Amino acid sequence: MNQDMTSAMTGQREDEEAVPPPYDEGTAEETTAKMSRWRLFAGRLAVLVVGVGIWQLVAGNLIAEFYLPKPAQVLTALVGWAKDGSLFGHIAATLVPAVKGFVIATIAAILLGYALTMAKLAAKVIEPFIAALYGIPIIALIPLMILWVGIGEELAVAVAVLASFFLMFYNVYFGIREVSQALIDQVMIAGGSKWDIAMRVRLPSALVWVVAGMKVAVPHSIVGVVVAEFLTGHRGLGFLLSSNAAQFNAAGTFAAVAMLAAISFVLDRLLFLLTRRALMWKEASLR
Amino acid sequence: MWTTSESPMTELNPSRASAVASGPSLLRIEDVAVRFGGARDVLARLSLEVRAGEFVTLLGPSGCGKSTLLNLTAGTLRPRQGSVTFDGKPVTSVNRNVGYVTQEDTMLPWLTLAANVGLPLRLRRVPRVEAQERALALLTSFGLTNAAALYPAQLSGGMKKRGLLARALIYQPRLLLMDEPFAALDSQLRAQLQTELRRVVMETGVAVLFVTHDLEEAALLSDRVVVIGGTPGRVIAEVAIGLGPERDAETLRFDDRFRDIGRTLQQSLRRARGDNA
Repeated sequence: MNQDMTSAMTGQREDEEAVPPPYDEGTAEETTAKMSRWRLFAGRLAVLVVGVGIWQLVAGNLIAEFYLPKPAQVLTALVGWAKDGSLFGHIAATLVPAVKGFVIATIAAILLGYALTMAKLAAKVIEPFIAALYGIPIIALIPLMILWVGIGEELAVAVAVLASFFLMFYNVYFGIREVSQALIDQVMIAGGSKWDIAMRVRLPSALVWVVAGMKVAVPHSIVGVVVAEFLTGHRGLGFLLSSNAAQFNAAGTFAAVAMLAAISFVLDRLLFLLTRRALMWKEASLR
Repeated sequence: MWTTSESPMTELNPSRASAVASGPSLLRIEDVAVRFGGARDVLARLSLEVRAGEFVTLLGPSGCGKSTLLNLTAGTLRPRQGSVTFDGKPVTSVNRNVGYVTQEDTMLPWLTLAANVGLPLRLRRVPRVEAQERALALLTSFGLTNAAALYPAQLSGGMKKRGLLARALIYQPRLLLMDEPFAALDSQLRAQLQTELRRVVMETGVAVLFVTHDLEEAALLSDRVVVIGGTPGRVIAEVAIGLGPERDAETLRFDDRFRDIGRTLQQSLRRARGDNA
């Protein structure tokens, strides 16, 4: 592809006009893209199958089932929960506060990030305080949160906000701030207003960072909810995990962990699909 | 490296030298001084004029304030003293009547080449379809039809430079500012783009204020070369390049007049660096 471009570029203009319209070779390209996507999927499936296979062999032979249950036992536990209907209730109890917390944190992060980029002096004053707050372990704040909002779903949401806010904030803040001044000057000279700069330069430029922040912040908001459930919950995957572990039920504990992993995976894929179109230009450079 | 004391004041009178060009005055920089913090001026008491349709090159060692003059013209920088007048009006904010091609890659990476080139039109509230059509037409004249749908990351250095030139020209500015646009390119591509720039300038009649530290490039492209040097930067010499509008880079290199001009520029440049010669 690169060679094509170089030759197109160094060739004479008269020649170039004779070249057929762009992208009629699209079908061939699409086929290879489809094939590589299929290979990727097959590879991932293979990793999963081999991993579970090794697990099945090791459990009960090298390591006692008390410590490491067989995959089949974990599956049985999951199916049992699914049948009695408790599984989806637990998933929802974890997922809903995690998503709520993440959305609140993201909106707050974008607002504060943008405001601080615009008010440079305020940003300089506040920055060390934000860093200090970020340094506090979330677990240390949970007793305070309990005092403030009690031990219901509100606690889970609050902890999810705390867990994801700073990750989002730093990404948004630096994303908006680190836009090259040369780009801004160019767009201004080309006729752009302040609003154009905000919407056509700062925002798209920050989007890469925002998406990168989401990739880290979404799992963290789930971690926050699970921690809250550990400590105070009577529902949710964190509760399922801690109650099974307390009963020395390894299969149940593993089943809860597997559910958490599955949720993280699904959310990550969802995020990827949602942001793919917006970051198409970034992908273009990797092809 | 630069000593301020001994370089002789051989400054030509700018107005006399620019009498070579015939068009009306387009850009007038008068008696400006610029300082970036600190105690020293980057430019001091510098005056410069560009006439409509004229190709003026600022030649000088790096760090002498050539780019600063472009930024003053673009209005992204204000002088500490003196005035900048464009088309009869003082430049007090960002100057949207110029096109600016900087050294950096200033393509917006999230827009395709066509969208990048059409962007100035969109910012000037030209309808989307019309902006797209005009961008494609201009890209075609730059030999970039096939690259229109590509993102900047997929473009080669030469394609990017052409695209940036197209973006700076699409709104038909009367003055094109170019800051060492071909500095990072290999010599073959560079020669090609120089020829192309001459062609575009001839076709559109746009005036150009071009910055380079390459002597041959300055002689090849310009109607007039202004040599800048010293600390703080000032005009060391002005050299009219009487080579006429039709120039062939290949034959010009062996032309006696071209060599004479080169020698003159070489001497001025040496003075600009502060060497005694």
